[in-house]
Amino acid sequence: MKKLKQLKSVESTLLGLKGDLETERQLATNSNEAAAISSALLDVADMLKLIEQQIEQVQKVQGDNTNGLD
Amino acid sequence: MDWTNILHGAQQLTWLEYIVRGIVVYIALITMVRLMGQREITQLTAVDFIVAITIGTIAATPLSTPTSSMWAPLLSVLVVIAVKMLNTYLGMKSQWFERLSSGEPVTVIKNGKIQEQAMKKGLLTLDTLMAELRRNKVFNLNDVDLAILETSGKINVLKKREQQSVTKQDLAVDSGVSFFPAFLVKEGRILYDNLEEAGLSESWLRSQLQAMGLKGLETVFSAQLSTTGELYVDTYDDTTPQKRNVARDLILSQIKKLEAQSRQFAQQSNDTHTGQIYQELNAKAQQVYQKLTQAWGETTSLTISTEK
Repeated sequence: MKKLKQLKSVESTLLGLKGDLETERQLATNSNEAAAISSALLDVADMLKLIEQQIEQVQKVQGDNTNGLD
Repeated sequence: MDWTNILHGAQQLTWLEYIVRGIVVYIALITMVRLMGQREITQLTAVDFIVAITIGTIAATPLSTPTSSMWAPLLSVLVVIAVKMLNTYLGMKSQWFERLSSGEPVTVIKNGKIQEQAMKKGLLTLDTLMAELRRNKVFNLNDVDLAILETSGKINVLKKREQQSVTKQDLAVDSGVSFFPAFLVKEGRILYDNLEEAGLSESWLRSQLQAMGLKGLETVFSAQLSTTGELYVDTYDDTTPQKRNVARDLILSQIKKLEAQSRQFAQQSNDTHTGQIYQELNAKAQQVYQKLTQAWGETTSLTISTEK
């Protein structure tokens, strides 16, 4: 449960960051800035994917354990 | 309007003469009270209170009595103020005289115990004492280490150590370098004295403003250095640049939060695979931070470096 809680917490930070970066990209005043934000967004998307995979795995393990107990 | 009537008095004064008298008395009183110094206004002791009432009563005479001259009451006020100033001067020179004229502070509670003799000396009732303690946010006598009845009639309270608020020193928290909260820019003008006092340069200030997306000093209404070393800028146009900067700071702080989370969870993690994922996340977060700070400029954050 602690592991899942930690992963969810990181996921929440990443989602917030992604939203703010998307807003900031729309407001970018020059191409360099826009490029840097786009690149940052890709990195954030990668990190998010990684965390979501981990969450799925943990949830699956927990589900298996619960079914086993049943 | 007859100035002789205004200054020396008459059986009857016109409205205009009353108005002029009021203005003259007001200006004279302000001048004389200023002579007494700031202390008299903010810290009224029993003597100060008596002097204030005396001055008010005397000064009211030419305003309400047309036959009274203006000179005599104003001269009387001047004499009272001069005596008061002499009193203050002598009090500064002699502790004995100060005690004689203003009295001395009395300890009314010591180690949570009421000093009955001191209460009698200070003509203080238990109800008044408790009301004063409550004003100091103290509700139990046992919480008080020391309570002193000052010559102004106020009671100052020192709580017992265990009842005192926790300080940063108690928690061994480093509060960092403390800056004097000074304005560096006022209405578009740089205050060079304050800048120098803070150990900062004009080029530094201009680079900070530039990093905030501000075109020049003429757009800045005020820029203040906070005690924590942050620069707060208020522009004439309260829209885009400041908001943009706040949004960028928020993004950078979120990345820093992500770095901290991943570092902490990597340390706490029991299995190697999850630990590695968090480490990877930490490294990526650092990269993202670097990319953005380079694009926005190193000085995007409003916090001033303490390495001057």
